[in-house]
Amino acid sequence: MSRELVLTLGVLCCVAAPLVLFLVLAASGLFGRPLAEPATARAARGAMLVSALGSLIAIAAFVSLGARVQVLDFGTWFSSGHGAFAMRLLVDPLSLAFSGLATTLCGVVAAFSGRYLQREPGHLRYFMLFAAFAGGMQLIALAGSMEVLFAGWELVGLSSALLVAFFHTRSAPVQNGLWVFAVYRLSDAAMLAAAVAVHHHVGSGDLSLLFSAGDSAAIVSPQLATLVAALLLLSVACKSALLPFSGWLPRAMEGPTPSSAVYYGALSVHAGCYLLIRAAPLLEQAPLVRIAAAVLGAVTALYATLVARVQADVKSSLAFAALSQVGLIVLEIALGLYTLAFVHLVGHACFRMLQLLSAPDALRGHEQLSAVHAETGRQYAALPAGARRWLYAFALERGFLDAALQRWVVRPFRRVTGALNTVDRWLVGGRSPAARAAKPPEPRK
Amino acid sequence: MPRDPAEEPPEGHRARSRIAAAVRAASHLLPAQGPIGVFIHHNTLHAFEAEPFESAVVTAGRRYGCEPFWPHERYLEQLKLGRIREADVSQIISSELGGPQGAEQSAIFAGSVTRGELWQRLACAAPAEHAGPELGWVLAETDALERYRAESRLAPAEHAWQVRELWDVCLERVRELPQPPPEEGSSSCPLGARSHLDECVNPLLVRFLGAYFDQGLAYWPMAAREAGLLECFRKVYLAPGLPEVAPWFGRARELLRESAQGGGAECDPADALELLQQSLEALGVPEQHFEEYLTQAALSLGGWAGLIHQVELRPERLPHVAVPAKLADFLALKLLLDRAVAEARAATGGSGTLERATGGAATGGAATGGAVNVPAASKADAELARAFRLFNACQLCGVETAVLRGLSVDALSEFDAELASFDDVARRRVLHLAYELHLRQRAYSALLQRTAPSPSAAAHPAAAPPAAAHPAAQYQVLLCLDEREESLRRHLEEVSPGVETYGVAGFFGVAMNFRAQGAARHRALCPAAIMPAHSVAEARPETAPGEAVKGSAVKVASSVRENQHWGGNTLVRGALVSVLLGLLSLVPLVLRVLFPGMLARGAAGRAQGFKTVEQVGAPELLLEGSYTPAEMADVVYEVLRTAGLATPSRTPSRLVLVLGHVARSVNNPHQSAYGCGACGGAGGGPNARVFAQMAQNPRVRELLAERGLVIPEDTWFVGGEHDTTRDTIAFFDTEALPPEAAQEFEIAVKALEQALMRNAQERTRRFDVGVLSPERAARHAAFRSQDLAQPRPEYNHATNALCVVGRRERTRGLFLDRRAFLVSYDPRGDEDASLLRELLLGVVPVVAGINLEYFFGSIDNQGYGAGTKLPHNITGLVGVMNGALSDLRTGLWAQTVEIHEPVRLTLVVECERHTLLRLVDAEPRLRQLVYNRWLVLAALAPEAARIWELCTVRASRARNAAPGASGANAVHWEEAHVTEPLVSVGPNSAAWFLGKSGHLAFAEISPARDSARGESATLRPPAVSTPSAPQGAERA
Repeated sequence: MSRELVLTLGVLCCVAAPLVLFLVLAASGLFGRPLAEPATARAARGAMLVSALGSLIAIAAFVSLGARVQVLDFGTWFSSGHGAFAMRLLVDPLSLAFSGLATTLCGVVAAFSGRYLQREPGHLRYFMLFAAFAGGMQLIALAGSMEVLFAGWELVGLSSALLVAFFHTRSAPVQNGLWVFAVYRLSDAAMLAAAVAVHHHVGSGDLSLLFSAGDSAAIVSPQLATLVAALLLLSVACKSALLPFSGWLPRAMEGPTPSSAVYYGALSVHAGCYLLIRAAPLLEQAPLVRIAAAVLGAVTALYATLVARVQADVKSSLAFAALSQVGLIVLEIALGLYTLAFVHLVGHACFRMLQLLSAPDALRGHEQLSAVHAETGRQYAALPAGARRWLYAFALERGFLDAALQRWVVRPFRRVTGALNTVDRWLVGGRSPAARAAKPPEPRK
Repeated sequence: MPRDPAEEPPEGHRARSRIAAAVRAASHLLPAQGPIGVFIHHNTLHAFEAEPFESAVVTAGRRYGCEPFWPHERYLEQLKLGRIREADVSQIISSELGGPQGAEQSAIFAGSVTRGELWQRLACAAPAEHAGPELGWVLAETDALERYRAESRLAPAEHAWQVRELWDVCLERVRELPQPPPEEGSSSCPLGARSHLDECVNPLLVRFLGAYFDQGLAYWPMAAREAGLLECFRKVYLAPGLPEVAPWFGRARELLRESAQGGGAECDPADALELLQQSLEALGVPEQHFEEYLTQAALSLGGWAGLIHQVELRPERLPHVAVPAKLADFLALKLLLDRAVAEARAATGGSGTLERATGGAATGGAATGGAVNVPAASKADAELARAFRLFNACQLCGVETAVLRGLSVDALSEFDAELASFDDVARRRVLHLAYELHLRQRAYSALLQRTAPSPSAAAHPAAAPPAAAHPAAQYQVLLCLDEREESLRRHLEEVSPGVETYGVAGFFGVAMNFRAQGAARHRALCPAAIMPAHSVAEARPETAPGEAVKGSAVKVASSVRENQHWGGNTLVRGALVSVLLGLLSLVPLVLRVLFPGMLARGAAGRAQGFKTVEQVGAPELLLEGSYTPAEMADVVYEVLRTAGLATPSRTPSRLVLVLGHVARSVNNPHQSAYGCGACGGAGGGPNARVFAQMAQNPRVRELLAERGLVIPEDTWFVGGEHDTTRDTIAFFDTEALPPEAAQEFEIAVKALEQALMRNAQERTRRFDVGVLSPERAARHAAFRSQDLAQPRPEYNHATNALCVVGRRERTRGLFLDRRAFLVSYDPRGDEDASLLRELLLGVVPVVAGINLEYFFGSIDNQGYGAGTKLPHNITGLVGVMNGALSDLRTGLWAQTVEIHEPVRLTLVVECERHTLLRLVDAEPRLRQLVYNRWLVLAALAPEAARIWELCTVRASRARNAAPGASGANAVHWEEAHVTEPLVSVGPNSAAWFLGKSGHLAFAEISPARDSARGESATLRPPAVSTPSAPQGAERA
C-alpha cells in the first residue's frame, strides 16, 4: 500500500468516524429505535478511538512521506456553472497537529461524558450533537476548500447552540442557546460572504492556494485580500467571543460540564485562532486587518482578564480567563508569531479543559487553599480608590456589553422586524379571520 | 434619621412595623439552606408543618408553583411494578370514605356505580382529561371516538358508531346540565406577573450577591463588604462614571444616590425598612398586599434570599470570610431595583402608568395571575371537556349508552359533580397514600414475623445468659443510625455471628467544634440544632528543629498550588502556564478521565493489594482542656445507656469499635450532603475518636463506676471512620492496644474487611455495572469515589423509608434493603421513658428532615430540588447555580433522588404504646410531626410481636377541609397485622440481592436456613393472617 493511500485512509478515518457516529445515532433516533445508553457511549468511545488512531496513522504517513503539503481530493459534491463544491482536504503539519489535538480532547470528553451523562434524559441527543461537533472540528482542521471549511464551521456552530440549550425544559438554557445561535449566525454569514467573494473573484474556494504563502499573493488582489480577511476576522471574532461579542461565552456555560469544557474551554473558542493562523498568508496581504486583529486581540485580552478577576462563580471566571488567553493568541497571530500562537493555543486548550472538567471540585480545592487566598488581588489593592471602584463595577457587570448589545443592536433590530411584520400582516392577511385568530402573543419588551 | 421607634410619629412607626412583620413572614417561606459546605437535611416544607401533611402539600404547591404529588402516570407505573396494588388503593379509598359500609362509600352514581368503585376506577386508569386545543386534537387525530379505551369496562364495541353514539349522548346530556360556577382565580404560577421585573433585576443581583458572599473564588475580593449588603451595593454601583447603558440602571443609580442621602433633611443613609416603605409606596402596593409582594419578591430569587436569611441566623456557617447579611437589606435592594425598572419604563412611555409597568404585580400578582395566564375558555370548549370527562368515566365504570341516556338530570348532575371533585390532585393523593400504605404494611409484616418476643437475645442462639464480667458478645460495634449503615451491620453480623451492633446518632454525644490539623477553622460536628460548647483540635505538627526549612517548604508548596489554581486565570501567568506547561496537563487529563482506576488503586491500594480497612496514625487530640472528666463521663454514660449497652444483662465487651462515617468523592459540589447528618454534613470520624478516648480515660471510668456503669479494665474502645462512598474504614489510635486486645482487634478487622466488601457488593447492584464479586465491587466503589466524571459516587440516603427505635434483636437478620434508620434503644430499664424522650427529641427531627427532604426532592425535583447536577456551577463557594447565571439551586439534585421512593417515614418505636403517646403528647415538636402526619408513628410492643400504628381521624374528607383548618386531629391506635409472609433466604444477603437492581422486598436472612428451620419457626408469631384478610376490617 502506498504511503499516500495510508495517509488518505488515516485522514479519512479521522474525519469520517465522528460523522458516521453522528449519522448512526441520528438515524437510530429518527427511526424510533434509539440506541441504549451503554451502546451509545460505547459507540462514541469507539468512533473517537478510530478517529484518534486515524490521526496517528496520518501523522506517521505524513512524516514518512516527507512532503510539506498534501491535498486530498474526495471528488466534487456538486457543481454549477464554473463553481464547484469541492470536497478537498488539506494536510500539512499545522492541520495534522490541530486535528490530532481535536481527536485527543474529543476522545477524552467522550469517555468522560459516557459516565457523566449516565441515565440523563437526552443522552442520545447529547452524543449525537457531540459527534457532529467532533466531525465539524475535523473538517475545520483539515479543510482544503472554503466549502468544507464552511460545512465544519456550521456543524460546530449548530451543535454548540443546541448543546447550550441541552436542558430545554428550563427557559434559561434555551434563551442562552438562542443568543449563542444568533452570534454564530453572524459568524456564519461573514464566512459565507468571504466564500462567495473568493469564489466570485478567484473562481474556486481552494484553500491550498488561498492560504499558502506563495500562491495567495498571486491570485488575490490586495483589495480582495482585505475584504476577505476582514470578513474572516469578523467571523472569527464571533466564534472566538472577541469583543464586542464576548457576552455569549459565559451564557454558553448552560450545557453539561463536559460540553462546556470541550467547546468553550478547549476547541470551539480556539477554532477562530486556528483559522487565523491558517489564513496567515492572506492576512499578511491585508495590513489594515492585521492591525485590527492586533487591537481586537489586545483589547479582548485586557477586558477578559479584568472581568475574570472579579467573577465569583467557577465557570464564568474560567470562561473569561480562557477568553483572555484567546485574545492574546489573536494578538500573537497579528504580530506574526505563528508558532508561538499555535503552541499557546494547544497548551491552553489542554490546560483549560482540565480546569473546566474539574470545576465542580472547587469546593474541595478551596478547603486547602483558604489560607493562601488573602494574597490575591495585590495589583488591585495598589490602584487608587476611585479607579478601583470603577474597574470593579465595570468588571462585575462585564463591561455592560450585553446591555449595550441589547439596547443598540437587539432592540432596534426587533423594532425593525416588528415593523416589517406589522406591514406584512397588514398587506397580506391582516383582515382575514384566520390571521386575526392566529395573532401571536404580544412580544415582550 | 429617626432610628428610635419612640421618636417616630405613630403613623410611620406602624408602617415600619408592618413592613418588618411582612419581611419576617416572607423569611419563613424561604428555603432553609445555608452555605453548601454545611448541608443540613431539613423538611423542604418546614414553613407548613403546622398544617396536616395532605393539605400542606397542596397549599405549598400553590405557593411555590410545585407539584403536591408525583404525576399520575408515575403512580400507574408503580401499580404495574407491584409497588402499589389495587387492594391498597381500595383500602385507602375505603378508609377515606369512612369504612366499607359507610354512606359516603356506598353512594350510588349513574345507576350502579358506588363512589368507592368510581374512585378506584378513575385512580387506577391512565388520566384522560383534555381541554381546549389538546382535546380537539385528541378527538380529531386519535382513535378516542373509534374504540373504547383499553381499561374500559364496557363490552368491546363492534362498530365505531357505538363509541360515537356514547360520545354523542355524553355531549347531549352535558348540555342539559347547569353551568358550573366560574372557577376562582386560583393562580397556578403566582410569580408570573412579575417576571419582566425579575428579568432585568435578577441577573444584576445574582452577580452582585455571588461576589458579595464569595468565600474565595474571585481573584479580587469585593470591597466594603463589612458595611453590609445595602451599603456595599451603593459602594459598588455608585462608582463615579459608570456607563448607564440600560435606562433603568441609570434610574437605579439615582434612587441609590437619593437613598444614600437619607429620606429627609438628615444626611444619614436610609435604612432597609425606610427604603422598603418608599419603594412599596412608589410601586403603589396597597398596605394589605405588603406581605404578598415582599414574599413574591423574595421567592423570585428564593435560593439567594434563603441563603441570606440563613447567614443572618447563623453567620458562623460561612466557611472562610465573614460577611454580614440581612434579609431586609436584600429586599430593600430588590424593591429599589424593581422600582427603578418600573419608573424607567413608565418614563420612556412604554406603558402609561406605573401600575401597568409593574404588570399588576403591585396589586398582588396572585389576584391577576390566573386571569392573565388562562385564556378564558369558551363555553363550548368547557362543554367539550366536560363531555369528554363523562365519556371517559362511562367507559371506565361500564355505564352503557342507554343507562346514560336514561339518567335524570339530577343524577347526572351528581355524577358530573363527583367527577369534577375527584380531580387530578385527589386521584394522585389516593394513589400516593396507597403507595405509602403498601410499603408500610410490608415493613410491619417483616417486623412482626421476625421479632422475637422473648427478651433474651434469641436472634443468635450462641448468646449465653449474661456473665458478670463480659457478655457473650465477641465484640461490639457502635455505628451511626444512618440507613446506609444498615447493610454494613447486617453483613458484619452475617460474617461474624458473635458481634453485636448498635446504632446511635453519629456524633456519639460529642457535640464539639473541631479543627483538623491542616484546617484553618473549627467546624461544628454535631446536629444542626445544637450549638457546641466544646472545642477540640488536633495538635499542630511540631516544628521546633527545622522550622524555617519546613516553613519555606510549605510556602513553596502552597505557592505552587496557588499558581496552579489562580495562575491560569490571570493574563500573564496564564500565558506562561499555557505555553510552558499546558501540554503537560494532558497527562493528568488523560489519566484522571480515562484511567481513574489507576489513581483509585494508587490512593487506596497498597503494595499487597486492595485494603478496605486501614489503621491510620492521626495527630494527637487536644481533649484535656475542653472536656472535664465529669463531662466526658456524662457523654459516655448517656450514649451507652441509651443504646442499651449499660443494662444489667449487657455491658461493654472486651473490644468496642466506634465508627463515625464520612463520604469522600471528587468533583462533587454537594459532598457535604453525603456526610453524616448528625455531624452537620461532615465526617463523624473525629467524634468517634473523641468518644473512644473518653471511654478509655481511667478517670472517666471511675466516675462511670460511681454511677453504676462498670467498664471492665480490659475493655478497649477504638474509634474509626467508615467511608460510605469507598466502603473503607480507617481506625485511629490502634498502636496503643495491648496484645490481647490487639488480637481481638485483628479478628474484628478481618470480619470488617469481609463485611465492607459485601456491603460494596450490595451497593453496586444499584449502579448498572452488572454483578460483581465482593472484591471487585469494593474496587469499583473506590474507583467511583475517585472518578471526575461520576455524578453518583453513591446514592446517599435514597430509598430511606423506615426508622426503628429499639433493640437490634427486633431487626437482626432482616434484610431491610438500606431503607431503615436503626436506632438502638432498650426499653427495659427505661420505665419512665426519660431516655426515650431525649433520644426521640434528638433523632426524630434529623431523621424526619432527611426523609422529607428526599420526599420533596423526589416529588418535584425541579421545583423543590436542585434539578440535574450536570450544569451546576459553584458560585462564591456558598452554593450552586445552573450555568453561569441563575438563582441558587437548593435541595437535592436529580441524581441522588432518582431511585428514591417518596414515602413518609414510618417511625417504629419499641415501647408500650400508651407511654409513647404520652411522651409524644408532651413534646410540641414531636406532637406536630406526628399529629400532622409528617411521619407515621407506630409502637412495637417490647414483650410481644405486636405493632400498633397511630392513626389520625379525619374530621371530614381532606379535599373538603379548608387548608390549615385542622390542627388538632384526634388519634387512636390501630393494630397492624401480617399481610404477607416473610421470605426466608440464606445463607447471606447476597443470595437475595445478587443480580437484582430494583427495590427488594424485606426478607429474612437465615444463615442456616435448612438446618435451623424448626428453631426459627418458633420465633414466628403463631398465626399469620392471610394477605387477603379483610383490610377494611383491620382499620375499622
